[in-house]
Amino acid sequence: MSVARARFDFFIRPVDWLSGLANTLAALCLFGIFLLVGAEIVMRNVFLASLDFSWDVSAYLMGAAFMLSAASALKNGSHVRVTALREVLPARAALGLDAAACLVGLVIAVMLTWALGQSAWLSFLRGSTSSSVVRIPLVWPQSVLALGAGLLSLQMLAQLLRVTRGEDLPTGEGIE
Amino acid sequence: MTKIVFSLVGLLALLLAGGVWIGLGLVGTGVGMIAIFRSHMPFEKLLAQQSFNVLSSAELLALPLFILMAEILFRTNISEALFTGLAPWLRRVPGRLAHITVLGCSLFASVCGSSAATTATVGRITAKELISNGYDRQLVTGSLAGSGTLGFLIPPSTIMIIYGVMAQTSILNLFMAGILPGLIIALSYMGYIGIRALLNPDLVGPAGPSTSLMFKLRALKDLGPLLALILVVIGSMYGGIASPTEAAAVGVAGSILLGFFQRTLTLRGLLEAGRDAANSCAMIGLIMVGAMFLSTALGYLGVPNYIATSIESWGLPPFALIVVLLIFYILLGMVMEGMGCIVMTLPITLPLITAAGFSKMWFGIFLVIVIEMAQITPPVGFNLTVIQRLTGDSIGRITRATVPFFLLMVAFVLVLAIFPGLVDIVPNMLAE
Amino acid sequence: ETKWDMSVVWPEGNFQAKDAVAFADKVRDVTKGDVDITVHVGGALGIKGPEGMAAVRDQLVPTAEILMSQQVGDAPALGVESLPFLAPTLSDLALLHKFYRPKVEEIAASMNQKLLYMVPWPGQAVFSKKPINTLDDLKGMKIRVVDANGQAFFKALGAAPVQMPWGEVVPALAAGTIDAVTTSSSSGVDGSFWEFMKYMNTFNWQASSDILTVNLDAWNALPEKDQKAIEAAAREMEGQFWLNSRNEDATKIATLKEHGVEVTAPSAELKADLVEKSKPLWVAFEKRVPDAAPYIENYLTVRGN
Ligand code: NA
Ligand code: NA
Repeated sequence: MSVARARFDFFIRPVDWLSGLANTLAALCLFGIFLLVGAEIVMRNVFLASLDFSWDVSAYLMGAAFMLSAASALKNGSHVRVTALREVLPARAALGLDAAACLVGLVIAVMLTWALGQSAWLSFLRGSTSSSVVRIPLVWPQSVLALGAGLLSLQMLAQLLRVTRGEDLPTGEGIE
Repeated sequence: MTKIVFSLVGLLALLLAGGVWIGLGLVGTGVGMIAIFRSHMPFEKLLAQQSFNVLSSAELLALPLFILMAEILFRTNISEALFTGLAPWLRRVPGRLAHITVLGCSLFASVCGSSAATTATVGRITAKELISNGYDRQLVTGSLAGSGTLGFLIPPSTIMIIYGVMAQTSILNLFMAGILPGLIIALSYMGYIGIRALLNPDLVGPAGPSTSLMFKLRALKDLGPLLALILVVIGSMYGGIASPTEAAAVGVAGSILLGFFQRTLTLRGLLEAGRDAANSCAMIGLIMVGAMFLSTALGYLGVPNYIATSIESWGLPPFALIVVLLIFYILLGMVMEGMGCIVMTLPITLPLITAAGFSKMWFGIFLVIVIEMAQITPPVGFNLTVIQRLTGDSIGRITRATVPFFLLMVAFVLVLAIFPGLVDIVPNMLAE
Repeated sequence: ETKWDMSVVWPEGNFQAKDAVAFADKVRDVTKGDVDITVHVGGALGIKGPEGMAAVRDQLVPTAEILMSQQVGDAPALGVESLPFLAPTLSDLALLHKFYRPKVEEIAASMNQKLLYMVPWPGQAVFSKKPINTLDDLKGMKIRVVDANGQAFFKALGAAPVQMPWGEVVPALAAGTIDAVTTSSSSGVDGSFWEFMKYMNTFNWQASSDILTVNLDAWNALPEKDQKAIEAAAREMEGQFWLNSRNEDATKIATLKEHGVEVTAPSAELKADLVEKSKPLWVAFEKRVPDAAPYIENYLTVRGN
């Protein structure tokens, strides 16, 4: 491995590891939704009683799954982008364009993190809860969203650093 | 207003053509538009509110569940079984197995109210197998994008429910009215595929050997598990066991059982399926956040409202009005999310339409079809991005593949404008 | 000239939406065009029901028309009206508001907004596939409910309250996944409930009101004469809006009857049973939200039970 490869590894590797971990958590959230909705079906049809928290918690788990996996989706090229312009550019210019895209992406991801983080913080200060049948403090689901967005920002920075050392941005596996 | 529209198009083109990830590019465009034209508005509050709205919306729950189901099924041998079971039967049909995506989407649409989930699920099971069996990539992705949209038109349908409540018209009648147009569109896709295959036999995979009827019947056995799964999911919903979203969980349970029963699925494989599903969900989720945020931002700036009011002021005759509205919704659907299009324009367009002599139900079907089109027009086109994730093709390439199917939809809308009675046939039949 | 956007979550034809539009017109009139309010119906500004007050506080919109009982996540005391059988008639509700309105104003102020008017919805009925004559008929009935009070109430009655997003309700009714829905006559007509259910039981077990609030920063920026004029307009129109609500119920019930729905009020015995089962929930609520307790108690003292 060349020196250029090793550069920034101290940052990129832990971020990749965290992205993978969050992806696994996201998968568990999906199975959690499945189990909750399944339990609701059984409860209603067999015991004539509804789990009063199943819809709310499932919806929050869905948000958690979506955002916690945002970083790993970026890392393995699942997030979609338009590549028409970069395909007609010479290699160096294409790399420059990728770097610019990462930089702009980073700014937007940080804004999203800030917005979600602020709302989680305010929900905590104000003690806001969900307003349906169960009173779930909103700080919990909102913090998870902010956490996912924060991790997305870190992974975006990692992608930027990868581009600066000459690597291409990942694309999904696709069908050969 | 011209300034607003030019800034919108410019900012969006700059960010997306520059290669910024679509979801983030939409967020960035929305933030930019608010910063320029509504600077006193706290954009971070709106962004947080809209993101949390989308990401905690119970109405969306079927999407992650169906995507999980598709990832699990992908790890069983259900795709191969589908092909070996149907291949002998479709051998002499022009287009052969290329019809599977259309048939699969139409069938799946009858349990799933979401267009993206229909595309993702059916595509995951059929696309790879079709392409690796020698079917033309363009034909496969195009037909998948087109027929995936049937999720909205064939009941149940989330869009119809929103429209029914807003327009104060019967949701049940809307559901029934969607069946015939859905079938006609599906048939027109199959007709197109057949004609293309007749004109150019290279577009479809090899025919395989001629077989006896006994063999054909035995081949059907391979379809058994998949048919059972579909019947269980549909049955749970129409039998009153599960609501539409809950039916998706029944599908997940069925596919896990199927995988374990066939010994094709391990616990490790199940976790892998979950991780891949989460990545797909993250992609769709981020784009939904961006699309919803940008749609809302445009609503605050009064863009849809302004254009709809302008159209109103032209005082067009009925057919011209339909054509203009069609163009309006197609353009709007390029940059806005479908639900947002309806919610923001309906108060103006619905009275226009009823004054022109069309029924509320007719307009509902019209809107559902144009919102379907919005799913396959770039840059904000959910079905396109789902297929991008599935096949790895560029958005541009998928869009080109989708054009014929898009045009078939446009043609159908015009037919619908000439024969508005088409939407009444099924509801009238069932009313008797 | 001041331009305000107003968010309304109800669809265009809904009576609360019509009231909001009428109020906006009136404001334009009494301020001689100084204050021009654009009403966005159908949730067109992307603000959902439970976010109304937060959106006004956060200045996403200067003014919004808000269903009070959906704001309990931000202020639990706004759930008072939705307690079962606490104020089952319009005159009960008017009396309750005499005590309770200052509390609503106080909560609004704490969220940086000013209350302009309060208008009740028609009471909550139970739409069902089978008739409900006695408590036994409710046993095990799968009823779709939307809030904690509904959940607790129908559980206490021995029914099986079920949560479900609105989008699932129609398919679920059609397939028989649920047997009943509790909602107002307005929503019953909006959802064409006659297609699925033959009976409307006018329990009126739960009241709820919409409030119109305006952000205080936006309000304070107005000249005093406009403020005075708007306040006067709100006071003047509120009475008419209450009448509209009463008429709405009558009209919508007539529509339901036209479509063959059997509309019945509960018998005296059933009514007594229902009220009996409700009272423990009032106590539990007062315990959970102590700052709402005095308003409930004062109201009950004056009403006389
Ligand atoms: Na459907
Ligand atoms: Na589009």
